[in-house]
Order: sequence, then C-alpha cells, then structure tokens
Amino acid sequence: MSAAASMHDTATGLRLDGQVAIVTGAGRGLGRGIALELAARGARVVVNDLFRDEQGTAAAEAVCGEIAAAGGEAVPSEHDISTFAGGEAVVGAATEAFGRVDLLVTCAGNYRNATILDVEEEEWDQVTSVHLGGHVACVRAAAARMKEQGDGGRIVTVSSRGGLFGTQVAYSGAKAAIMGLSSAAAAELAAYGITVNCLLPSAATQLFSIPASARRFGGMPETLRMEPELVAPLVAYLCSPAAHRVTGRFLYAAGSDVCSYADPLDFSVGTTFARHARAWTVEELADHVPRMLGLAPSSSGEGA
Amino acid sequence: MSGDGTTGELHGRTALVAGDVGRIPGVVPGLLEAGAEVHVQLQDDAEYAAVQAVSDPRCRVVRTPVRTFAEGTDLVAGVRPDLLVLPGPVPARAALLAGDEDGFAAQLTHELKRSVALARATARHLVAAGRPGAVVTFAPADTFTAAGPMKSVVGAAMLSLTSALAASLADSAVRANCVVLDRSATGGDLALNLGGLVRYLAGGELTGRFLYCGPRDVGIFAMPMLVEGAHVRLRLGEGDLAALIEPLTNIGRDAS
Repeated sequence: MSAAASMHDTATGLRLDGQVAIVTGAGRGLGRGIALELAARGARVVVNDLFRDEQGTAAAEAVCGEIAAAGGEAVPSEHDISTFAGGEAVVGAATEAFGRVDLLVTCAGNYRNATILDVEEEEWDQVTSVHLGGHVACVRAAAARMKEQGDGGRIVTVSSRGGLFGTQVAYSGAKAAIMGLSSAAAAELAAYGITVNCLLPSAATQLFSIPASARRFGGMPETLRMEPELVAPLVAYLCSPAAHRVTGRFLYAAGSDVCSYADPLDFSVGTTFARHARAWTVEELADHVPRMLGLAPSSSGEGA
Repeated sequence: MSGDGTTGELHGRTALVAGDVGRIPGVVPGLLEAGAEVHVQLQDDAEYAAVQAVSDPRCRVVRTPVRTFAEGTDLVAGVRPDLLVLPGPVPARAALLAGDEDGFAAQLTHELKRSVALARATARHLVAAGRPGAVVTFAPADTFTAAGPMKSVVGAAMLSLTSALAASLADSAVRANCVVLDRSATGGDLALNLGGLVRYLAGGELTGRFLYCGPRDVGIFAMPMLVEGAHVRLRLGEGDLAALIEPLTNIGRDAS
C-alpha cells in the first residue's frame, strides 16, 4: 500500500492501526488472504490454524512469517476452535499477546461430501462441530471480550451460498446455521457497538477447487476470478471503523464480484449484485457497499 | 403419496410428527381428518408435558428419544412413515453471551441432530421401499431477525435440510418442503391454514420450496441466495389452497 493510499485510508476510517484481529482458519486459502490484508492495514493478528504440512510446518507459523516480513505483527495459534474452551483459548492468546480483541473473522472449516442418504453420523458431527460449534465458540468468546472492553468490535462470520440450497447435508446445514447465528448475534451485540456480518464467499481453496463449469451458481454471472485473496478487501472494509453501520448483512465476494443478499425470508428487501472491471479495493468497497445496502451517505467518513 | 394428492386424502398413510405438536397448530388434526395414522415422537418429559394439553387421543405417542442416527433409524423402522413432520425450533432461550456449552450441545441434539437423523432414516426407508412420501419441516418467520441464537441457528438449518432433502430425492417420489411459520401476524385462523397447507404438501408434487404461512396469508419465498426469482404472497380467501398455490409455482413456465 502506498503512503498516499495509507493517508487516504486514515481519513476515511479504513485503517486498522492499533486493532487486534483473530482470524481462524488463517493458515491457508481465504483466511490467509484475510489475515494478510488486515495486517497490511495495521491490525495485529492472531493467525489461528491447526494445519501442518508434511514436514510438520505449522501453517499459522508460516503466515505469521509472511506478515512479519511485510512489516506487520502476528502471532500463531493452533487451538482447536470447535469447543468453547478452544474459542476462549484463542481469545486468550490475543489478549496475552496484544492486550485486547477488536476483530474476529471465522474462516475455519472442513468439508465432507455426503448427501442426506449417505451421510454418516461421524461426518455430520465433525462438520457441525467445526463450522457451527467453532463459530458459536469463537463469536461468544470474542464478543464477551469486546463487550468487556466497552468500545465495540467487528465480527465477520463465513457461510456459503450453498447453505440454504446445497445438497451436502452436513456442510450446507452448518453453513445455513451460521447465517442464523450471525443474524441473532448481530441483534444481540448491537447494543455493545459490535457489528456482525456474514460473508458468503467463493474462491478456489484447499477445500474447493470449483471448476469453471460450477461457477454459474445461484443465478449469478459466471465468476471470472477465483483467487482467495480477492475476497479479503470486503472483509477489511467490514472490519473497518467506516463500516460501523453495516451489521446483520449477508454479503458475497468472489473475484471482481460483490453481492448484497436480501434477507432470506423478507418479502420486501432485494438482492444487489455488482461486478467491477477489476478486483475491488477496500476504498472502492467503502464507497459502494453502503449504497448497495441502501444506507444513506454518512457524514462521519463512511465512504470515500 | 395419497390416492389423490390434490384433495389431501391420506387414508392408509402413516405420519410421524417429531416433537411438540402444540407449536404447529392444526397439523395433527388435519392429518387425522385426512385419514392418516399419526405417531407423535417425544424426546423427553418436558416435551411430553407440553404435548399433553394439545394431544389428540387418536395419536400414537412414541416416547423414544432420538439423539443419534441409529436411534432415528430404529424409530423409523418401527413406524415406517410416509410423511415426516419436523416442527422446528422451540422459542428462543439463552442469549449468545449467556449460553454455555452443555446447553448449546443439548439443544443442538434436541432440535437439529434429531431432525437430521429422522429425515435421513425416513428418506432411506422411502427410497429403499420405492414409496412416495413427504417431509415437511418448519422454520420460524423471524429466523433471520430474532434474537436468541438457537432459534435462528435451527431455523436456518431446517431450511437447509429441506433443500438438501429435495435435491437428493429429486429422482424419487419423495417431496420435501419447509413451512415458514409466522406467529406474529394476527387475525384469521392459523390452525386452519396450517392444517390445510401441510395436508396439501403431504400429497402434492411441490418440492424444495419455502412456504410462508400466517393466519391470513400463504406465500412462496424466492430461493434465498439466488440472484433471480421473486417472492410471491397472497391473501387467503375461501378458495382451495392447492388452486391458489399451484399457479404460483408455475410462474415463468411454458404453459404447454
């Protein structure tokens, strides 16, 4: 990021200096890209991931190395976030390293290819535990800490477009449940200045390769680019001070596309899709997303 | 699944309703009046107590908890249902910040794993037998607006379960739909509408849809997360429910 861009971000509430972020599942894929983006914008990051490669190298350590090499600050965490104790432990790691928690992005997940006819109980338990249990554990623990700090916070949960109409009963069910959790959390935590938004991303990652034939999903135009790091600018915007009015929303990001989804069971609100000629920047999203969501322009620096 | 699906006749058919039938007024009476044999599965003493006030003596009460897939399979093997009704989440309990892990796990099993176990077992039973059938799930209309995480979590998961059932069973004669129940609307007769709607879904061809039901209105939601399509909603009158709903599901199709 250039010095001029950094000054512009400060003026428009898009910098994250002094803030502490937890990103689960940040060793690879979407989570890695998001951790790098948040760190580049000034956040100190807890990089949480259980994965180790064949040589035994922790993915979380590697991403922390990348952040440090770029001049940022990060600490690794290999806590299993699928239990309440794990959620509290990763929040504890953040407070121990950096003294507080301001941002939480929950990317950790797994996948089992199983329909209602062939899913086994163990598969359902594993997927539900990591996705739904992990979200509940981390959101609860981080929100409690944010409430205690008394100055708000940002939570971005990660669901899937296939949540409400997918065929993989365990994965889709857990992702739909995360949408419900996000709505309820947004309602409950608004009183404490904590926003909760639900991301429904699409990218080629270790979980999904997404062949070109599957990129026309949900009635959208074919997704043109699938690099996971292209999802990160929208998350950085949602984590920023500028996004203080955006909460309880379902937002899609993939390549150069963003979409604000209608509330799934609301007869009155529409879905808005937007494609950029190139990858979105955080600054452009800060200008565009509030308009997609029908929010009036803010005088407090929301939008560029 | 019936002799004549459009009239809601269910003679000779067996329905399994899992949970507190008091939360879905009109459904059990409607099924009984249509001629179905109705089994009501109850998970625990609290659910049994809740059902006492509203249970119909013609129902067969099954006090067998379903906490695992194996227990769901065993129950379905005994009842052999043609229709499975899953009433959806109980009203909101603890707030997110006040919740504890044991309570979360217990409610997840009670509300969601039980539904998945029974849906899986029923789907397998019907497909293996080559029989037509139906699964009707329920989600609250305020699933994405209410506070209280478990109500929203389970409501959204029931929508997803419905879609997964419908997609996986598309080549069979088993249908799956979710009734999005609005308890906040007033006027009209919720029990009458809901009973009629579930009878219709039990015997109809509609599948994979989320249907709004309030005391005065029914509607069909656009598929969430799709960019195309639209919601439709209509005010109920004196007409036949099937005659009102079926044209709405055919919007945009070639009339020929």
